[in-house]
Amino acid sequence: MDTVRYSSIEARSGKFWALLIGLGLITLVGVLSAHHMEVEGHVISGMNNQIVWGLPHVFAIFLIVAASGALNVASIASVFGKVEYKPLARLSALLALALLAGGLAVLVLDLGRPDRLIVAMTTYNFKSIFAWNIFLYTGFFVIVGIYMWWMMDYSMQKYSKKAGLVAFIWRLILTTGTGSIFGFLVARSAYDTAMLAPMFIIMSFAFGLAFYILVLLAAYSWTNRPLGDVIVNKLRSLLGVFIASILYFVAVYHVTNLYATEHHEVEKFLLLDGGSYTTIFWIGQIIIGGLIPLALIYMPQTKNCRKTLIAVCTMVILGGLAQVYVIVVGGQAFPLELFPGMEISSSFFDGQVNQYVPSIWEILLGIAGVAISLLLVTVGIAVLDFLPDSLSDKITTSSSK
Amino acid sequence: MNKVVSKAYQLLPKFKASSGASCDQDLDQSKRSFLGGLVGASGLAIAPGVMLYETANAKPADQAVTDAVRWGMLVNTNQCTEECDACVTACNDEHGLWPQEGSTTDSQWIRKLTVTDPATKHSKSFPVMCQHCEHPPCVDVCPTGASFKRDDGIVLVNMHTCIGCRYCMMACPYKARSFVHEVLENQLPHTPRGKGCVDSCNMCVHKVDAGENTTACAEACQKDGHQAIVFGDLNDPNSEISQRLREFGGTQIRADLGLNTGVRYQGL
Amino acid sequence: MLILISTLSMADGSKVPPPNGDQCVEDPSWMRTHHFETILHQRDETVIRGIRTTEHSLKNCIDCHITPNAEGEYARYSNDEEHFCASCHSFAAVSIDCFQCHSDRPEKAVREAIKRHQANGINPHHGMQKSVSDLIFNSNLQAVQAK
Repeated sequence: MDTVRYSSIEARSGKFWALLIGLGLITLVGVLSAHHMEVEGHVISGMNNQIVWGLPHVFAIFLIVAASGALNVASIASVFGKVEYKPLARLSALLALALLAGGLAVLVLDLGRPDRLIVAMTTYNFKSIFAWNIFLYTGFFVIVGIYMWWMMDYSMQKYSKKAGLVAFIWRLILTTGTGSIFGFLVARSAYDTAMLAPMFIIMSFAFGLAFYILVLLAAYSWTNRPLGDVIVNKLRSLLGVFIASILYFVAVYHVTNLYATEHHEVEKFLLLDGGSYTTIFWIGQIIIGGLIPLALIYMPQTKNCRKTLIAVCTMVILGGLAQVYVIVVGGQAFPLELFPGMEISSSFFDGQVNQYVPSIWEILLGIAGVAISLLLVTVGIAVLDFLPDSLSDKITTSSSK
Repeated sequence: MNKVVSKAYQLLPKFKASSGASCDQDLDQSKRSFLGGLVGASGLAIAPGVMLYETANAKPADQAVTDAVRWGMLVNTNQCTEECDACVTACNDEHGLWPQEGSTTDSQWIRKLTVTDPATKHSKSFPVMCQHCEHPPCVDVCPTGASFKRDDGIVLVNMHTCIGCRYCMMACPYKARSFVHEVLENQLPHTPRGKGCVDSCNMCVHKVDAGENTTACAEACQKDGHQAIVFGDLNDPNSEISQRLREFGGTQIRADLGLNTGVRYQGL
Repeated sequence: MLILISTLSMADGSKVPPPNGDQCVEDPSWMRTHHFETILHQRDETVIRGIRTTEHSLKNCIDCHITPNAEGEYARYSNDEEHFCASCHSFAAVSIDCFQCHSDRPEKAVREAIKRHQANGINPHHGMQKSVSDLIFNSNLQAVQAK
């Protein structure tokens, strides 16, 4: 039996410092953009009274959903007992926390009054799913923090499975809550459906795993640690299952809506004549985010190639951003139906498809969220023992409890 | 007759202590009893069916609002015309709003909505504002409870607690809420509002609490418009608004949502 | 706290125009110590419960304390020599955000300012800045004419 040894990365090469400084600069630029938006007001952003949640929210929700899914790898080991995933668990927990931190940073920095964050964390209206989410996110940090500690502390390792179970259940509730932010909105034709909660859970599986694979491949390649094909191929086929599941949920959502005449207008908008939203849906979400990655995962010519896997994961991430964009912004672009079946117009843009073009400030803020997450992972693996020394096939096939 | 009463009403001392009076409550008391008497008189003097102000529903300033009263409005869409926007102008003047035409970011608390049936080409124009629902989705979703419903039915935003997340704007079926996108100046003292918070029609809560028992839009409609908007107490079966609702009915916009709005429409 | 309170009485209010009444609703030294708690409590009473007694009303404080100077001008919160609240708050370096939303002068002064802006065709409440989406999608943005 080969025990798995963990160690922090050397963190001395020029590449490491370049990465750290680069991510730090992107983060700084994003924070400065957010500050500019706070001082001048959101009038400098592309968001307005019609599209109230824009690109920052797309990035934030994407990162938060991915965070929940990134913990999946650890859950497969702790909760579902698949021992070959055990060595991957620590990094999974770290990535989950890092992605959540990045997503929340973007969300908080976009608030109209970020100076009132203390109010947001101490005053709760518990009928609001948003309030529950704040509670779930902060709880996630605590629970996954404890889970990470019990995995890494030899004396507590026997309790790590229990922590893993609690973390697993907590993140299912959390992602259900994130999906319900939209699912509970009765007002908007594209929302108001119970489907969004489980769809977000399935999305989290794919997005989180895509991020995880990219981080794993990058970390092992840049630190010259062995990473065998056995584990990489397991992760690859898992990703394939998750992508297919997303396509299934999206299909059910749209087919059900298409059956109901009352939803025909919004479906026509999303699937046919919504302009940029329709393009982003079909090209971004379905083709780039779904069909091409599936083909590349299962086609015999590419199914074992690592470079292809990197491309697949990148496409899943881009497709995921597209999916969240269509949900968040596309859902707002379609006008509110105050009088279903009637044509309405007013000085307040009733009855019109709402336009949105993100400003540079929002783009910089959103990207900074990703940079914050990657920065936290980089610092984490340099400081503590998150990464196994080796994930060669010998180690992964012979690991036992 | 309407004009006489409203003119007399304007001669009353307004609810503030800026005219050199000392900062105490005597001014309130004398004004309140004067007003109560005047309103009582006007309630009797005007021809039936054309009552302006509600009688005796003003609450004393030092008492909390209760759910004994539920404030609402009835808009008679048969009286509204496409060209008239007296209600919109009045609201903007009253609250210090200055929405520039075509601006996607300026606050609009009330707007004229034109509804056309594509099959029959029949078209109607009438004002839409916050509907002051009994079960407001905006109140349900606000994470800090800043969006709340007062006991007397008025739905408003407590700007001291609002963090500017805009979730209430996502949730409102009537697009009633606006977000303040830039630094504001020259806010009127009775309508504080500022950058980063969300605001919407507050049913002229400052006028209601002062015992004026009307809103700027209703007042302007009576004076300059087509007498289409009536404000009153939905819980009082003898109020003008309740009588009209009983006689002519009043539909809710998006009644299917089951929100029991405080603003009802006649002729829709 | 005691040091802060005693320091506050050292704040220079010599250029602040005198208030508009005989005496404050409370004793000045009580006010110095308690006005913030009072304001924080009263704002909930007013907004949530609809209690609008004038004694602890912010509008009333402003109406009394913010008076015109010899030239008939009203000080703004940004002027920490002439504005009643600013004269202390700037000295004590305690920043407040009340006047981001609340008016820092009586209604009469605000109405005059609004009239002046409207006469000059300037938006009285915020800049004429167009938002990004306006710039891209609505090049016909016109200012509302003052009525």
